[in-house]
Amino acid sequence: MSIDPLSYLPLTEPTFYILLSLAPGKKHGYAIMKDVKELSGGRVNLSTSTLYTAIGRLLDQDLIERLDDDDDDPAPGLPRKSYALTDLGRRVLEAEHVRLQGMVKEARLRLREGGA
Amino acid sequence: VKRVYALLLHLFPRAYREEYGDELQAVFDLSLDDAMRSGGKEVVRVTLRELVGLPQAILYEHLRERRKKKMLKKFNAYFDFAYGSRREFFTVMVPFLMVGLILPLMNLLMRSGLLIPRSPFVNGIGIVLVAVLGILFLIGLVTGLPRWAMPYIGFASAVLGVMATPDILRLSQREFPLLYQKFRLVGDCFYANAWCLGLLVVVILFMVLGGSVSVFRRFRDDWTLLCFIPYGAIPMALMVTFEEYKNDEPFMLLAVAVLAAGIWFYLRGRDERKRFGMLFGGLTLAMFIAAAGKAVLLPMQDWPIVMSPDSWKSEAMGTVNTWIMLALIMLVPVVLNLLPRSESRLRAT
Repeated sequence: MSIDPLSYLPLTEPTFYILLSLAPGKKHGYAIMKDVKELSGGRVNLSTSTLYTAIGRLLDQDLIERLDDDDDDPAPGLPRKSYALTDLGRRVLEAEHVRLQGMVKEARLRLREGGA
Repeated sequence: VKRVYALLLHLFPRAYREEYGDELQAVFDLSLDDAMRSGGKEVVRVTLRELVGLPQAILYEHLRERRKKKMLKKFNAYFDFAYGSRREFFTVMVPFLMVGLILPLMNLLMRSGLLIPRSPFVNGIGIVLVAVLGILFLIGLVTGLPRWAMPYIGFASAVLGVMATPDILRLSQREFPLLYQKFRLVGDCFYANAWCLGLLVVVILFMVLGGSVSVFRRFRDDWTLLCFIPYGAIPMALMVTFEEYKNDEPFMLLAVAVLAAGIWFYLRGRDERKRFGMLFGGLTLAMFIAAAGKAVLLPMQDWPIVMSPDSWKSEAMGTVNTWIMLALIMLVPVVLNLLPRSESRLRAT
């Protein structure tokens, strides 16, 4: 039985950015942290522990998966685990994208009506 | 600052720290190194951000750990049946009912044309049965091998044994052809029941672990639990016994009914010897029914071989051999329990 991605919506802002950060491919914790800050224009600045709390929750929900690094010689200091979107995670992200798009469209229409 | 952070990580639950501690430290170190390149203000900002986020994360992880433990406890409690209860009895009975009731019923339905062999429906039922057995076996392992899980260990060992036996037979015939020819009769008898060997290994392993590993110590306190392991292999023994036989369903059903009675009285009994007697009696009677069944059914079989009037004897003897093997395995814990014990062991028990 497939899980309905809509049941996960709406996503919180940090969750949305974490999933969005993983959309192009797998990443280490630190790369996610930097990407989230960049994607949000500096508004979502996660601490290490907050990031990992969110990661733990997303793992429990099967939205992301934890992978062992297959790189034999990783860059020094980098964690040996990385994270990737699961199929469900990708579907949830797409569903949130559609939801946000609908909201933006409605907002644009109403604002245009108000301005006219 | 990095060292202080490493110390603070000890405030997380141990399991979480072991899983994510290194990663948290590595990411923190990288954040701090980056901040240091940007100047002192950034270092202070990053440190403050981390210190503010940490208590909330620690609290959250402790609560999550407690929730997980509570759920596990609830799960364990669900499968922690009262001794001798009906739920315990029916959970033990699952593999017995599958082999002695559901499979014969499916055979009957297939013979009467109501079910089509190898159809998606029949295959689906097969998959569900295997899944139920597998899940209950795993639950037995996860919940610390409760009493009801013992026959599942025996059943799994027997299934693996049956699957591996043809390979062992082929390998030994190839590697030791002369030895095989010389002792062919003994060899055939042994090979026919070689699937029981895995069972023997499991019983001995549990006995050995009972002397040293705390989880297995209760097998020393109640040695009949070890006899309950081979009891779980009897459904497989019946399947092997009646392999290629037609119209074996009534005998299978009768044998499983006897085994069910053995389980019922074993689970509800208090005296160890009587409880062992129930298991041993169940095994003996069930295998006797199987042997008698083969003797009765043999003339009705349409096998493409010529059968002598004494063929039933050799057929029934095969089942007697299986009974001997299973009975010996069941007796191993009894014999070892009767052996004199050292004083230190007596004190321990």
